[in-house]
Amino acid sequence: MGQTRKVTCKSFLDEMADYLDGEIPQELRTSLESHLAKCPDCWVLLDETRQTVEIVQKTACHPMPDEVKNRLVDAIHKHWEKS
Amino acid sequence: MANAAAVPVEVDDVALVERVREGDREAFNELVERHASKIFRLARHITKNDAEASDVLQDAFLKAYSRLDQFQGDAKFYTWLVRIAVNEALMRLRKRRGDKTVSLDQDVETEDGSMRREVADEGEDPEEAYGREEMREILERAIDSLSDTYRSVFVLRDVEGLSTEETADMLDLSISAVKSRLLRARLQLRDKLSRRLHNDGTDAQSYL
Repeated sequence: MGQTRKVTCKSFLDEMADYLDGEIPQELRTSLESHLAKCPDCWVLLDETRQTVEIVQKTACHPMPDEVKNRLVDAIHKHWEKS
Repeated sequence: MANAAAVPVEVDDVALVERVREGDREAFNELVERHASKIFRLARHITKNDAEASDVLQDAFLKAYSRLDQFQGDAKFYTWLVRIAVNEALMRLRKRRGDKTVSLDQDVETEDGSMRREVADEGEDPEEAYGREEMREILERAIDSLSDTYRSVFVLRDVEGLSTEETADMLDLSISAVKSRLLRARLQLRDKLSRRLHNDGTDAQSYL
């Protein structure tokens, strides 16, 4: 019946990873969002964490140097020559 | 018509694996082209060392080639390859932990788990204007500074995009351990990034 569970900052934190990943039942989502509407601290934390994950996903960390690629290709060719 | 050795993009990994099993080495080269850079990034994130990441990359592909018969077509080839690479990378990490010498890169064990040894350059702020390249470096350092325990979970979930279940399976952890470590990793990273970016008056939004 659309009952919302009481959410504290602590319990919000416990659920935040699942909330960000969308892996959460609708009823719990509603409860968390009603907490977020009243709690600017949790909202800022959520927003910054979401931004962090987005930055990580959009940034191509550790591009593979050409010499690493060449070394890999050489190793594979040597393996084929031996087998 | 393109030459016969060329592999069209639409050919999926499983079909390429099938061709490799039939002796088509060019198909294996295509698998290398598709996945090597991602496997290198993953290995570098876990080992925090370029040379070791290069070794992990080689070992992972050579093992994948030798064990191709063990690959079940119902799984994704990339996930299977990631599993091999993660095992290789973690093995090297454990070996390094077992070394007698204590490196600044190693974690300090406390009663709350392990945490990173603080080093002098942790709060160092580069003076030049930040572009994407600088953002990448900041991010790489921030991810490197997470403890091994958190970093592996974070990289598999948020960088590689594996599911909670796949991550738990690969790292031999419970689902709840993956979730709690992911949360801690994300919060620590958020803290490290916001400190660095705010200190420099940089707006994180500009990178989104």
